[in-house]
Amino acid sequence: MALIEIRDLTKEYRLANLVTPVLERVGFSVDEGEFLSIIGPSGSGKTTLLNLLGGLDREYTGSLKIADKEMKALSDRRISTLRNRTIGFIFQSFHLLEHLTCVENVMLPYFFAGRPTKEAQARAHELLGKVGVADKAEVRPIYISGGQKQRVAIARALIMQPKLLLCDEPTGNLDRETGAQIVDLFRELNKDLGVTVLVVTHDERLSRVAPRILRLADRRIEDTRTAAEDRVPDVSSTSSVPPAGGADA
Amino acid sequence: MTLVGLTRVVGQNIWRNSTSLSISAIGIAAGIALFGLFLALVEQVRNVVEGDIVPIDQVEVIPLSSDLQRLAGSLFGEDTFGLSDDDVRTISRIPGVVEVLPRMNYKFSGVSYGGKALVGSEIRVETIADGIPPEQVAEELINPPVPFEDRRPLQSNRRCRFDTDCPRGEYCEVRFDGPPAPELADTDPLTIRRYRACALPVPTLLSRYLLEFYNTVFAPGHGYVQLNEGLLRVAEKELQFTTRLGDSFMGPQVVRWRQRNVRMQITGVSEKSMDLGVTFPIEYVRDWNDEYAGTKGAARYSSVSVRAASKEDVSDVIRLVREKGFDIKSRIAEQVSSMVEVLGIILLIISLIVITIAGFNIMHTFLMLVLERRREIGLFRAIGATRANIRNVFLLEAAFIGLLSGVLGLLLAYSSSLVFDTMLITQVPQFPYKPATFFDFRPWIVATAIGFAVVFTVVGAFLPSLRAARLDPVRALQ
Ligand SMILES: Nc1ncnc2c1ncn2[C@@H]1O[C@H](COP(=O)(O)OP(=O)(O)OP(=O)(O)O)[C@@H](O)[C@H]1O
Ligand SMILES: [Mg+2]
Repeated sequence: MALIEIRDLTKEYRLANLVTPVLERVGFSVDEGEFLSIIGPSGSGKTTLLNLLGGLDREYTGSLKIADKEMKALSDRRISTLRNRTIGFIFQSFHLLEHLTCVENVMLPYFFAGRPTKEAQARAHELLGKVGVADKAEVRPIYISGGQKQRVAIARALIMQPKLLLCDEPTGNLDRETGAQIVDLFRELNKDLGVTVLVVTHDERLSRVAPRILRLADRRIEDTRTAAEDRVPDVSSTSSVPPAGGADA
Repeated sequence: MTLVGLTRVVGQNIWRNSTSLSISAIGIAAGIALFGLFLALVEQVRNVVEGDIVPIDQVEVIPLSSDLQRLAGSLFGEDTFGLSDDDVRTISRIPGVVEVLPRMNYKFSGVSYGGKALVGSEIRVETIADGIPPEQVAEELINPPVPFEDRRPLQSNRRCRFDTDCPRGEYCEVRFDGPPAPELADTDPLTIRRYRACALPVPTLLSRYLLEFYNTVFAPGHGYVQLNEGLLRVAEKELQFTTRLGDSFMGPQVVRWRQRNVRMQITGVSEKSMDLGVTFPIEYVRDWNDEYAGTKGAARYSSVSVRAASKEDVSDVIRLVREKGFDIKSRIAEQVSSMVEVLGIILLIISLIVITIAGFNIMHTFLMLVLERRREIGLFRAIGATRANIRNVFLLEAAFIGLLSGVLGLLLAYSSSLVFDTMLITQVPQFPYKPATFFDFRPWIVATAIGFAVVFTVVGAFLPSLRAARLDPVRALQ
């Protein structure tokens, strides 16, 4: 069963009289357990697509279903539950709360789930261990490095055991070496836990490790899977993607 | 969202923004302090006025003062102004009335002097007095030096020239035969017989108010000894004074030779005595009125003190009394109470204005907080917070602040009440019914103050919390 099902999705921003079309009648689907990267030049709508997939932005036409639920039809309560249980977000700028310790940051989604906090604490510590920052549990995020921050953020995204991990340029604020480690972590999570991972990236290396790539340009989405189905399977085509604007050094 | 989780997030938020929150909390606290202080002040003033100064369950019934009635009275040569025994019976039958006490005023003037033995110097005052049926105060007086009653049947009436000619306890009194003093004009003074006879002093009651007034204003001002009820019981001889009937500071009412001295004996303090004057057994007043104001003044009562079963019955009693054709003397307690009430309302409005301003301040602070926490709100939404969750975080935060500032405000009010009390006790001279404290922090005041603090803070934070809940998560995260 497809975890993500998109058909005829059209998205445009309206600011007073200014209409910015971003996506026009795009369609694709993603199965559970896939690993995708989303690439495209700056301003092509990668973040927009991710916000739509995460249910943060529900102003669209066409159809967008996550776990068989049409996003714009859900009540605030149900969409919040979906974001809480089914989806995990990872941002370029981490969005950790600086007045809380790392373990408290990781536990946050539990507060909105209405589950006992004892269980949350145990899981948070376990996850911090899994992402390799167990020793920073009681430290506040201002005292740790960028890579460590992103690991804490990943642990937070995983604590509710989501099916879908949406990552918007997760390595954008990290150096190459650290970025590579985070990329490896994603692959591991995808393999070990079966989490479906969608990564928006400018990082060639990250896009290269993904077996499937969505390339955004001119309001359309080019999908390597459909491309591969259409033409002769050509794995090397993914690596010949030209570096998108503002790519990492 | 669990309450534990919510409380935790809220607690962390308050801790984090403690500076800006405490600044706006101080505003609420100041308003609540004023609010509590004013309420406690008004409450205490009401306690004193209604409890001590004039019992609120009493009213004084007087004749309906219509000029027509007076005119009729003078035409028929008889004073129909006043209340008859029938009237007293009518009043006593009104439902809710538990006690009626007819009173008869002095209808002439007198000057009293005495007190040298007790306070060290002679006091002279214009006499203000009335009479009441003595049997109605009998049980109220504990162990009086002389019983409060008409003592004339007991006295010897032996002819005398000096006090020493009389039996123990009596004095030598001047008496006149002949017509009442106002009808002397067509009488030859030489036909009026003047003689002396032994008499017992007239039992006299003081009011608690008069005693308080003497002790707090008069005695300290003149350096006289203070009196208490215990002293009144033991100092029998010293508690005598003399009244010159028919005399007055405003110019004599009756020709000098027809005036005479009567000796009085203070025998106790009573609720039933008139406030600013002394009270005698009614038989004496009736006879003195005969002697110095003529017969027509003597037959009727000037008013009837009525006690209702309870404070709540008073208004019904007043209505029924009016229906029966009598009037009610306006009561000091009511006048003071309504003044206190007006003052209280003004003070409350002031404190409410302060609290409202503080509420706007809270609103401003919370709007700033929402702005400051935009990204955090966006993140909360991304990890599963509903709009209601976001709103509740802010509202609970506000309620917490409200509770804290309410408690703080009350502590502030209480400590300033202690300061005011000390200042008023040490700096302000004694005055009648000056209480030990000027504030009464009733439980309902505490509850109301804290409730107001919470309500105003939550109301102030309501708009900002809605704004936070409606934030577009995408924009908030940018
Ligand atoms: N909130 C918004 N209101 C109006 N227009 C917007 C808004 N957000 C994005 N856009 C516009 O939509 C288009 C797509 O923006 P988006 O942020 O999705 O691009 P992106 O692919 O993520 O770019 P980048 O690689 O720089 O992050 C851009 O032209 C942008 O100006
Ligand atoms: Mg982007």
